[in-house]
Amino acid sequence: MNSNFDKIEAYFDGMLTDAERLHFEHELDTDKTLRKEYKEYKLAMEASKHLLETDTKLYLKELESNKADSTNSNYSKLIIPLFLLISVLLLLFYFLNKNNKQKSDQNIKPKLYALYQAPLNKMNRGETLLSKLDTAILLFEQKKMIQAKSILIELEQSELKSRYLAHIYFQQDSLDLAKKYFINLQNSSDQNISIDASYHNMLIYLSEANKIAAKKEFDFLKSKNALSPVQEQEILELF
Amino acid sequence: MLLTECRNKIRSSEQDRQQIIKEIYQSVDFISGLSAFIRAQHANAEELTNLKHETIVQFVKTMYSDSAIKSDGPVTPYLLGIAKFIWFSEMKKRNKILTNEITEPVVLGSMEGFEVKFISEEKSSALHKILVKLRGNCKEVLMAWANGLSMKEIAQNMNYQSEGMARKKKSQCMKQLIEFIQSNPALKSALS
Repeated sequence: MNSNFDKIEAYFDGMLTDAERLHFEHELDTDKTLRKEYKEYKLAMEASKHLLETDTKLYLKELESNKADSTNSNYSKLIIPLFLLISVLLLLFYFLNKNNKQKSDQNIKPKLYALYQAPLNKMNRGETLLSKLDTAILLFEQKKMIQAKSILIELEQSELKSRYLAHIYFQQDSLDLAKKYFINLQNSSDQNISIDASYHNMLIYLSEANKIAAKKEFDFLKSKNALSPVQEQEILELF
Repeated sequence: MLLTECRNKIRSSEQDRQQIIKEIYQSVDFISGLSAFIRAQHANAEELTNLKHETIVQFVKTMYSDSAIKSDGPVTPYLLGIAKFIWFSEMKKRNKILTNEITEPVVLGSMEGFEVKFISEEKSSALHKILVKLRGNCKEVLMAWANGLSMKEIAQNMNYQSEGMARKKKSQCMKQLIEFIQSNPALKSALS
């Protein structure tokens, strides 16, 4: 038992005999250094005793914090499935809508194409020297659409070029492109061309289920007496 | 769960102690009993949380030092007894109730000679620094020794081969702790 630390430790651990204990207590009264170390030892011992309380409090804080995280996480757990559910519903809605549109297209398109009218004004062509436009129109009438289109595309801009391109696109089911040409043709000074454009635009609008625009064209055609009663009835059935 | 089972686990290892604390913390019986008591006292949610924590801390301290267990029995009534004791003691300190209100039968039934004393925030903060600083098994060894566990129990809990080894370890840990306190005058002052 050499150092003060050993003496103090033995004292607190109850390892001293009665005589040693008394001697130690006497030393405490007289030895300043020993007294200082004794106080430090006692302080460390007290601190050690209270470590349990601090440790338990810390662990409770950890549990409390985990509980808060878990609550937040529960909200997250709710938000994510909710987000997924909404996404699924939106996708479902999109596909159902698409299917309905497709069904609607499938139902309406054959009827629309049945109402299709080839250009009414055929060109007067000579037997021999055909212009490129005449050749394209001839190919169009022979249902050779790809060849007709390749010739038409190279031609300079004209109402006839636009008209036949519009019809070719219509027949090829490229309705957006057809509409682009027909809309321009509706402004034609040639009433036959503008009526023809309006008629086919009406069919395109119907295929798009754009009934308001289609009705506008229908009214225009009616005002120009461009529809036969049978045609009128057939078109009205599509609205 | 019975008190003796709790006591043994709390004293055996940090892992077992934390398991017991967690079980109590999540115990439906304890929380519902405590909530009913708190409602009857017209206290708020914050007071409920504080009381819950203080009760568990006091319970762990009591079980660890083994000084207050008079007889075995289920844990929840004992916990609620501690909670009520802490609550009424606090109310008494705040002069909110008369002294004779504390002598409620439930409280007195199991809490005779019971004392509640928590360390100050300042001391708690200083001890927190010590907890972080202590290396190896020092925290558990010092905690056990300072709370009255025998060297034999410490050796068993820490899987040391002998009591001598436990004593040696305690000695090393105390030196480590004293050095740390000596090198931190502010800490020393907070602990004094």
